Amino acid sequence: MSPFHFDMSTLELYAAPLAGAAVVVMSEAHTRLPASLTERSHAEGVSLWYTVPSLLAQVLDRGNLDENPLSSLRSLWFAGEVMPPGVLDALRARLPHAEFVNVYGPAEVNECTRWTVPTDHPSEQPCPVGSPWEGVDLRVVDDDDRDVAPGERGELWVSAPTVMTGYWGRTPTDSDLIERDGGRPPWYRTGDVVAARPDGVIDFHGRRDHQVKVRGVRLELEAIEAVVTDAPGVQNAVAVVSPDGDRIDVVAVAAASGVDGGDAAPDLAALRRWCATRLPPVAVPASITFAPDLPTTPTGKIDRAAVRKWHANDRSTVLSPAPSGPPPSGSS
Amino acid sequence: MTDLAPVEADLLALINDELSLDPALPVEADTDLLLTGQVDSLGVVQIVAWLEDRLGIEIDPADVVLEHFQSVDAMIGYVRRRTS
Repeated sequence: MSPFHFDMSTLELYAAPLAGAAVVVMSEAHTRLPASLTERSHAEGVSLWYTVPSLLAQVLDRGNLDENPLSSLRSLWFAGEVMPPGVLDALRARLPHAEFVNVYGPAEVNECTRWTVPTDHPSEQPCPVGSPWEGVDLRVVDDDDRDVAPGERGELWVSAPTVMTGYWGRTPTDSDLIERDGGRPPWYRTGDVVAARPDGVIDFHGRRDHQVKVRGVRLELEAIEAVVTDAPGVQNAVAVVSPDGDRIDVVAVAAASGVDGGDAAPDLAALRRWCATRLPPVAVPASITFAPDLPTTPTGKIDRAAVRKWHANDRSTVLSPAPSGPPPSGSS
Repeated sequence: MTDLAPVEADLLALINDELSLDPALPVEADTDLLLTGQVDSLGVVQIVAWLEDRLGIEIDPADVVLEHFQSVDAMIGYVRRRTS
């Protein structure tokens, strides 16, 4: 079900033949039409599904599970983004014959932990990412690269035979991979903030930086902002994930709108085409809202948190720069 | 019977002007929208809402399948059966 350029596809393509199972290849068209996806899966007697939660939410919404109840489905695995508890509850109610497994793993490592949802898993509860797969070692470390105590938050490091050798065309640096222990696979810093329970089960607490996931695809907000800001007529832009987590929205400032806030916003359709030719589809902003200006933090950086809050809640409040104070000091 | 020619023209304009993910490739009535990647799943949802609004019909999610939504031709064929 995952496209071949998405590392989730490797599990289906390699593990299924190892287990003596057949792989049913779904076209991209099927994944865009949930009712066709369930129709084909039901007809083929598919026993395992492995996909991203946002597609599963679409299946619940428009997947026609009444007529295509996936009665052969034994196991439903999901990965790539945080599973919303409400979606999981609804799926478990609609597919009571299947087990549910949360899988975690950055593309740099591929799958590295998993957690089978117990039958008595309470509703409205998030899923931990679970315990390591065979051959995987985990560490949870603080900012000084020291292991933290169970229950404390830290960055997750992974060592596994599947850790990448490096990024294409780039020499691995210490910030990518740490070859500390000779003879064992290197450690990869995931950038994910986690905490380990006393029994070793890992809970996920978010990303360290501004990388986000939208519909299972990891995006750099800064890269999207760079494209929008580069467009004619745009002075500045902040990309945010929409409140429902399903798309990218952009709050931008038009170059021509001066202190008088003149109505000189660029043509939205043209701006969207600009983005569409330069960004992958999932990164193309679903909406672009023009604001008179963007708020800044005391150090002069754009205040992303304020932009996000304005976008999610209260657009009636005019966004304005922070009150002018002493010039920012320091380099950060 | 509803004249669907203007609906088809407006639907093509909607897809080409607002929904298409690859404006360099113009969408024609027989373009396979889903295989060429011109329209993603959100685009399909927007098309369904647009057709419902324009024609005053309700489209059952069970009808939103490949045979009805693969191309503008397929969509017009589907709504023709629904409105005749």
